[in-house]
Amino acid sequence: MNKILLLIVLGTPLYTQPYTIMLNPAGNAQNTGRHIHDTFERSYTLRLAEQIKKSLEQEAVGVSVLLTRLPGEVAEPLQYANFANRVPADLYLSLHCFQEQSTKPRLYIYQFSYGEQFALPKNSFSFYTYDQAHLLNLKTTTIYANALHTSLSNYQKLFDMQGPYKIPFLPLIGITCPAFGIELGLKNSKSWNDFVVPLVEAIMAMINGKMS
Amino acid sequence: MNTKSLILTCSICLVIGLIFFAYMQEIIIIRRPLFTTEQGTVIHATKKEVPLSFWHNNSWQQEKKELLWHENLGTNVQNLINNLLKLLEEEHIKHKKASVQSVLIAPSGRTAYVSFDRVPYAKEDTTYDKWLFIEGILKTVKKNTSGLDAIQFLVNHTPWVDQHLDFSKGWPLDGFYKELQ
Repeated sequence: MNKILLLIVLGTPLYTQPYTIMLNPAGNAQNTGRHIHDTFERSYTLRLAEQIKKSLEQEAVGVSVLLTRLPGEVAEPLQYANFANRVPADLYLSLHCFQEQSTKPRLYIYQFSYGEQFALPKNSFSFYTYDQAHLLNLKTTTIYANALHTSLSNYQKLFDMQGPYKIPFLPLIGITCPAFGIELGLKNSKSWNDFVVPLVEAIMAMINGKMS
Repeated sequence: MNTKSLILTCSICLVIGLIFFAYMQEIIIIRRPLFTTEQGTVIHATKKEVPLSFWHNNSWQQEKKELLWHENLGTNVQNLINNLLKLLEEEHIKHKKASVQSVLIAPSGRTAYVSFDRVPYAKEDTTYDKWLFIEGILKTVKKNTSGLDAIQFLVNHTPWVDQHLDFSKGWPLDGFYKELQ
């Protein structure tokens, strides 16, 4: 019995420092998002985010997962970025969906960039504009991006992964912690569920990379 | 002031107001005989074959088209983008009809302000498709003009607000998809 208990303890990652992940399901009470399979993007992204949160909380002890919104809530521009910076979050994922027309579903990864190459020095006495926020943790973001790419590459049978693309992806503007936009192609109303396990594994890979 | 003069003053004001309104709404057009309009001037334009670039079937496509090439850079940029939009419609790559209303070049000559009459892509499009559509515009303008560094995109002369792409800043002509250039 003791051996089994020990294995469970060893098998479950235990994080001494609290690690906060913020999930942003695209859309809100005012913005429905894209029209997908007779419903709206906002409902799929919320379901997906809730499922990821549930799975992560079961798999990783010491990791807290926050959702930026609940059903019926409205957000002002930059409110989520402000929220993520104040918490402060260690990882921010913005989840988006679209109706897939291709035979094989696609998954796109984006990170925020205006084409800059160099990180900004972290100096608490300096002011940075909100459109430079992503440069404060550029090195960690690159490490996370590699972990995300490697982990999701294992699921090429399920979907075609593309990215991470460095573009001015608006939902990530103003966020200082490593932040990624993930856009998923849904073949039918239930296919969002196929992305839960790959995404949870990818998040775990990013956390483990950070911890090690 | 008696009632008669009051009515007369009000009537005159009303008539002047109506004429002014009609003039402002371009219902009445006043032409000054000594004033030379732009239509009266000779437009210098030459024929030029230009390559139009767009993303289709996972690769950059290029099609050449003959355009009237003006001395004004803004007019050339407008013609280039409008012809690219027409080409995409003809090829059924893009289904939403849109056109460029006007193009203004900043005093520095480095930034072009391009204003569309509506958002040129569908709301349902993926961010990737929207982004590569914009990259096609940037690539086309870059190949055919010189001196410009960036394009500031607008819709109806107001900032273009998109759910996924940030147009609050000008987009560099080099774009963000460097591997595919």
